[in-house]
Amino acid sequence: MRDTLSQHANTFAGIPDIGTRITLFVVITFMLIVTILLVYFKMRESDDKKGI
Amino acid sequence: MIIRPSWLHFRESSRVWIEDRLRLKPLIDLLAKKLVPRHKYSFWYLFGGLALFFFIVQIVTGILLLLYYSPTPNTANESVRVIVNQVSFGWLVRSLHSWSANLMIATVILHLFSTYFMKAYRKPRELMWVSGVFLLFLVLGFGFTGYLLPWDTTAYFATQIGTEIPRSIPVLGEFIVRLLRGGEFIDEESLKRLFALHVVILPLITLAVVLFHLILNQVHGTSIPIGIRSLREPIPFFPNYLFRDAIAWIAALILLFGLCLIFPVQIGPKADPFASAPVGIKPEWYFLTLYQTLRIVPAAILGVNSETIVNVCVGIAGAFLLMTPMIDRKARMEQYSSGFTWIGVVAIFYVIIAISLAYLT
Amino acid sequence: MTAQDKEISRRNFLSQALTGWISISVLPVLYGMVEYALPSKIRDRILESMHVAKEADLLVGSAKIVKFNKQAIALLKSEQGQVRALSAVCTHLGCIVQYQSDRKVFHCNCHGSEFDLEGRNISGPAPRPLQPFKVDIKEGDIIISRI
Ligand code: HEM
Ligand code: FES
Repeated sequence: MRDTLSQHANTFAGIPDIGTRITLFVVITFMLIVTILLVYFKMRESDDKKGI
Repeated sequence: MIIRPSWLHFRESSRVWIEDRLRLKPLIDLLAKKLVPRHKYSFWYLFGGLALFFFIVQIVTGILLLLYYSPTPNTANESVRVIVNQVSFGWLVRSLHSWSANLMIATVILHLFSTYFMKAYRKPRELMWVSGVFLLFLVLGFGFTGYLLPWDTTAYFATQIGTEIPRSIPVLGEFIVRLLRGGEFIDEESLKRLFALHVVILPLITLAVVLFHLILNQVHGTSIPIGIRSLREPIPFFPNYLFRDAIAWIAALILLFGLCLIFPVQIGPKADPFASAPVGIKPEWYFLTLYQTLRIVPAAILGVNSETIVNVCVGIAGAFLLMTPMIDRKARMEQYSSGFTWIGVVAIFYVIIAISLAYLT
Repeated sequence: MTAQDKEISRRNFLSQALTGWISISVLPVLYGMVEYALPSKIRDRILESMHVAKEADLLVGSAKIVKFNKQAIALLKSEQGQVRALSAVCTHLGCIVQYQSDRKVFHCNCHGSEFDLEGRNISGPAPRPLQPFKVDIKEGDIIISRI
């Protein structure tokens, strides 16, 4: 049981290669930066309302 | 006549429905009443919130890891390999948990130093400081207990050392060691105990302390450092400051993903309790100061053995940290206490020198 | 004492008695929980002597780490063919030491303590020598016992 589990555990090379990871990073960063911009404008709007 | 689209009606009527039942307005008014001052150091106010953010990331990713992790010496290392190699996005979840832990500890330390130098611990915020120091101990506890869980060689010896250190504490030492290990040696019992601490006991305590810390922050508002004339209008916490917090959190998320995707966390070989400790074995960065101190203190000074000395020093440093608001009499009277600032500077230098020595030698 | 004062001191007494009583009742619960969490000693059953290896498995001038109860023990065969057994657990904070045959020392990779072939702590933070064990060889079997 122990042997099959440890063999099983190593069958796939799990971590994707650096190219895939960087692509993923670019996509995630893009999504998050757009979010930051939207939140920023929302912040400006609510600041303006209070005259900050 | 303006015709409003029906979804706007729906939104408005749901808002009213919810407000009638939850009565959130007093809470929102309360949050809006708290003002966050603006001055040249206000940047540092973001760090408490960042620590909270990473703590939330830990809870979410920790729960995901729990679905596959199995805490026994025969299965722990394998189950982590299964997570990394087979579970979809398992490698990412594990990297997020590990990197966010490091970032959480780093932000807690930055938050501690910033409130220390701004002397935000002075009256009436003494208990915010004390609960904050407990949070530091708790996050270090998370780091220590989580480290053994992958059951790899480095983790095994790090835990052996870490649970051996308390032994030289007078009277309670033996007792603490047995309680932590669940026996004389690091084995299945120890793994189960540190696991229980890491996933149930510490999270529950931390949640309670964080809540206490946040409620006090609401009650007392944010402090202004001694001698700073707040030049600009303070900002209401809700919603204006919360937007700033949100921007910092999303920026932190970008940093976190960057670290995880560029440096995904690896897993070491399964621990063998009967093999020599590997060459160059070192603890995580946040324990390096303690590690280097253990290395430079000689075996005995005036007949007292080194661990006792290190234990006593750590005890004194911990007590000083906890008691700072009570010791610093000047700050209590709104006077700038430069002595305490110097102690902080010396502490930072000691940490930097110890960490560099640990890496260089 | 006015009637009002009496009323106050009675109420004070009651709340103090209640707090005190609750604190006292919590103590046995705490005691029970700590006792529950403390490992029972019986489970770490310790044998006084054990067969750990065959003499033929040992190479002259190198160390082999074997299991004695739950402890790690280094077996060392000298050039004269004599077998010695020393605890392989560093007396500093308990890492397993490594035998360096070129320098003839046991070196601990954790904080750099070193021990000579007799187990004496010669440098680093280790406070005590490595614990020695008794070695008996019967028909090529190495048997270790506690001294
Ligand atoms: C899990 C760990 C922690 C979390 C989630 C947390 C969270 C927060 C938050 C959200 C704030 C308000 C925003 C700010 O002023 O930064 C705050 C304030 C504060 N925290 Fe923490 N904190 C943690 C650990 C600590 C530690 C380790 C200390 C110091 C020993 C500390 C001391 C303080 C103090 C004194 C304040 C008041 C700051 C002021 O009013 O200017 N906290 N904390
Ligand atoms: S554990 Fe061996 S030197 Fe510290």
